[in-house]
Amino acid sequence: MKYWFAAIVLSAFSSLALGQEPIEPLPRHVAYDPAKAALGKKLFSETLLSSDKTVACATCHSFNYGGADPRPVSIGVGGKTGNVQSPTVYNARYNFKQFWNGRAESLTEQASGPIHNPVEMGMESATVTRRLNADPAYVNAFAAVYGEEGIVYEQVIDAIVEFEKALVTPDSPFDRFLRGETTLSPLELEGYQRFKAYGCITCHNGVNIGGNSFQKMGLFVPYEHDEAAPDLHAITNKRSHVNVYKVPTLRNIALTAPYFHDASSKTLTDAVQKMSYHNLGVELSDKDVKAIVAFLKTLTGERPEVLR
Amino acid sequence: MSALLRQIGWKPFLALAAGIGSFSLLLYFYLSQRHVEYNFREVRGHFHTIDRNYHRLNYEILRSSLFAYSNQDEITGDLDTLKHEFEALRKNAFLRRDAYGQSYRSLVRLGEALNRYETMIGDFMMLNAGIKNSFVYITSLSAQKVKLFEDDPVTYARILSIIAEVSQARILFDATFLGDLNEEVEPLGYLSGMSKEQATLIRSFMLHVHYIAANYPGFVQNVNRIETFDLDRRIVELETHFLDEAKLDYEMLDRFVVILAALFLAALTLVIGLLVHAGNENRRLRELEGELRHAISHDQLTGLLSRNRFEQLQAQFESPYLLLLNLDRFKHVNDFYGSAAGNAILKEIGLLIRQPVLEPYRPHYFRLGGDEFGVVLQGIDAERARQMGVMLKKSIEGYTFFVDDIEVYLTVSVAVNGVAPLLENADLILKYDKARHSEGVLVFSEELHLKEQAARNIATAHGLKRALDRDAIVPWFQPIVRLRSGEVAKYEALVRMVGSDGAVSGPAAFLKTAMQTPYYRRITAVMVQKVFEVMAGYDTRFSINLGMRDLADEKMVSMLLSLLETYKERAGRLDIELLESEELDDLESVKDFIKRVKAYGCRVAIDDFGVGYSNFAYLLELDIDILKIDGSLISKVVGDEMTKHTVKTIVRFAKQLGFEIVAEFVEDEATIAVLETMGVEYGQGYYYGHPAPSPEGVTCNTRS
Repeated sequence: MKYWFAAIVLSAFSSLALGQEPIEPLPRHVAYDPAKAALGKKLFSETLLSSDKTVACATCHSFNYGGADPRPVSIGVGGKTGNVQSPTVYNARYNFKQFWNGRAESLTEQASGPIHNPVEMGMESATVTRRLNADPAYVNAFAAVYGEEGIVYEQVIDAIVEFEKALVTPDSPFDRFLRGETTLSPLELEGYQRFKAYGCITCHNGVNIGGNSFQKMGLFVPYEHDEAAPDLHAITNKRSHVNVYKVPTLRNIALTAPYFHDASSKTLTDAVQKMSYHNLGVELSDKDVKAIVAFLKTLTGERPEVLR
Repeated sequence: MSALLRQIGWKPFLALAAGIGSFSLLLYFYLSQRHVEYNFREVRGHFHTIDRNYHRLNYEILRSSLFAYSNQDEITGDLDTLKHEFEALRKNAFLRRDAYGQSYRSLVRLGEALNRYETMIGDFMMLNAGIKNSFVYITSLSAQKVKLFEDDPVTYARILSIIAEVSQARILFDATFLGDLNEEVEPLGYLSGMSKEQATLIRSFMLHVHYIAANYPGFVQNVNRIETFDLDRRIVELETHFLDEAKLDYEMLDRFVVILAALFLAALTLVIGLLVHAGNENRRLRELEGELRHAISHDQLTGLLSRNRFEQLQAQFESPYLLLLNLDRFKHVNDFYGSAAGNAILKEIGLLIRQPVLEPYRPHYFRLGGDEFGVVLQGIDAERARQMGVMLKKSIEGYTFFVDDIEVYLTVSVAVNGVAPLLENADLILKYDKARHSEGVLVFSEELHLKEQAARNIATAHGLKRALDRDAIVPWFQPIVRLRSGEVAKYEALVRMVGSDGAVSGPAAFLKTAMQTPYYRRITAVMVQKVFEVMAGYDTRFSINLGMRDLADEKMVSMLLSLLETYKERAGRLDIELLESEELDDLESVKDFIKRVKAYGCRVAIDDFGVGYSNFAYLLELDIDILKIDGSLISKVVGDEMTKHTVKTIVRFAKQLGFEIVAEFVEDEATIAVLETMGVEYGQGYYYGHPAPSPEGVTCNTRS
């Protein structure tokens, strides 16, 4: 009885302690089907999925660059370039919608996008399955997971999605701080205070520190608008949706330069200054910027288990 | 079995089918109801989740608009759940049925409302971020940084006044308290003379004030719209319609179930009723059968076992000896003192032969014929058996019978036999070896019998062969008459052998021997062939006799069938009278034969029923049409109450099974009268006509 009471009191307090913060740590382990994920992992790096066999998912979502692309814009089949910076695939399962303008409701819906996009991979579903069915290694691997009936497109997407669900980067210093396992340096702690005080937290909150709402780029000070950019306006055609994008996650932000949909910031310092100017309506001191950048660097998590 | 089915009829099966049918339907509707119930709960579960999430979402939004920090995952998560639940409802096959038309239309309206709600929330989240940040920025200024303007009281006061207004509007959640912020903040824009730090502060301050002035009224309105949005009404409307329609659905199912349950109960009652009825019928039949069995297994007069019973028991005896007792010249006693006196004497003999000294040999006592008694002893040797025979003989011969005070003495011939066939062998000695008896008791010996038998067989076989060669096997005909009207209904063909001297002999003289020879088949063939030829000139039905055991003889059967095939028209008028046989062990071949001849339109009769080997199982198992009651019973039906009772029982039994009944040996009008009261329809016998070489032969008292 005593232990129960103690357990209840403890858990109440710890949840209270965590509940105060609008950011939640990532779970240490996520459930996924290892066989499917292993197959998805192979497919993720498979250039057969692009029309000229030069591009794979991993080409633009590189595991060496925080699941994103270090290039300002990715280069697709036939050397064609896109019009937006490739966002990170890490922790994508925690985004409320996918793509910069949220046009996909789910990972499954998203995964087909780049495959069919003529400037990305430029493929028909039938071509994908024909190529994979011609490869005995894939035929066997799919048979082991999905049965003997031959590879169908939905299975390809399903395997990739299962892999993406496994791409979670837990145990960042900040997550461990939230769980009370470590402390932050005074500068990092001050950065987090600034992050909250200036209102960054208003949009960058939740388990993915972002990825759960749309926001206008240039809320206080208008931001340059490119007619061709894939903003929310491109979907809804509403005036109020010009330059509106999904708020990106800040997890692993130190690894995913360049920043913003237009790759206009090459450093975190620049990105923080730009964001606070346009979207918070404040001009931060260098000291504040330095502290916030120090905080942002605590958001880099462990490499996903499935990649280890 | 088929007769039993005929007896029970098709009604129970119909009722059973109705019962099973309605029960299956009942089960089906019960399961449907379970299905409805399950879906009902599922749909209501979705309603509940939507309702709960909607209210939680409203709370989250309010919280998010008031609290500086909020985790927007809660909002997007709840919105996601709301949309998923709605999709689940929209795809629910149950709601898509016609019966739920109104509910589905409400659901579609709910979907439209949800879309508007989602748009409002999207707008809210975008506005909320800016508004909150601006408020935080403006209100946090008062503490430290406004001190930068301590030297400029006008600017200082203006900033403080704006902060105060903004704070009030924020706290009261009312945009009207903002006043004309844009105008108030405008003078601050003249930045000349300010330090760089002051200018930066003023720029940000103005940005936020402008933002609040431009967006706060819209924001307040947006929050109010969300908080007062009538998604609730849509949910309630949907639930109301759904409950109404589900109620109808339930009521309809309930009605079906009630109707079906009633149907099922009715069918069940009917089945039970019919089964009880059939059970009663069955019990009556069994009782009748029991009576009949007793009647046939026991001699009615003496209470000893009957000849029929002897035949049945024969196989069960263990190394038996039969002591066959034949009363000498008993016919004279009968004639002289009358049959009543004769019967009384027979009864007494029945008691007399039950000697205690026989007990160790497990004795069975039989009355085997009119003046013939049999005692079967087991576990005894030939000499001892002979001594017992002598003892019985002395007991009877030494006994004084009284008929009306007149002393009567009897002598008796006794045969002792331990060689199968028991009765036949014993009979043989009595009939043929009377000369050789010692003390009137004869013991059967094998070689004696065999020689005798062989000689007789050879003689008979020769006779048969000659008769066949001379074409001396001929059919005679005897009319079978409808008792009520006296009309000739049909003719029974009987086999006769005409001797070279012109003497005519009946089947008793040769048929038994013939069966052991190849001539038997020829006799049958000749008979059937000739009968068919004769009957070409008539249009009545006619019958021929066959032994049941003949039917196991494939050659015989195929010969008969080919004749039927040849004379198809006449075959349709043919009745086949089957004589039971003790050797019959192949009932299937009889059944099969009956089935085959019936295809030609033949009818099947059981001949001489009531004596011999009558086994009632036959009657139930064989698909027969006619029962011919044995003449020995019919001739005693007048005067002998026990026999009358037996015949009555047979008739009731036959009628229960739906057989046509023919009485043999009908010899006088008194008999006809008795038979008619019992319900016997047909008769044959000397009263109507003796067998004659042609159907028109000797007939009398008929109206053909």
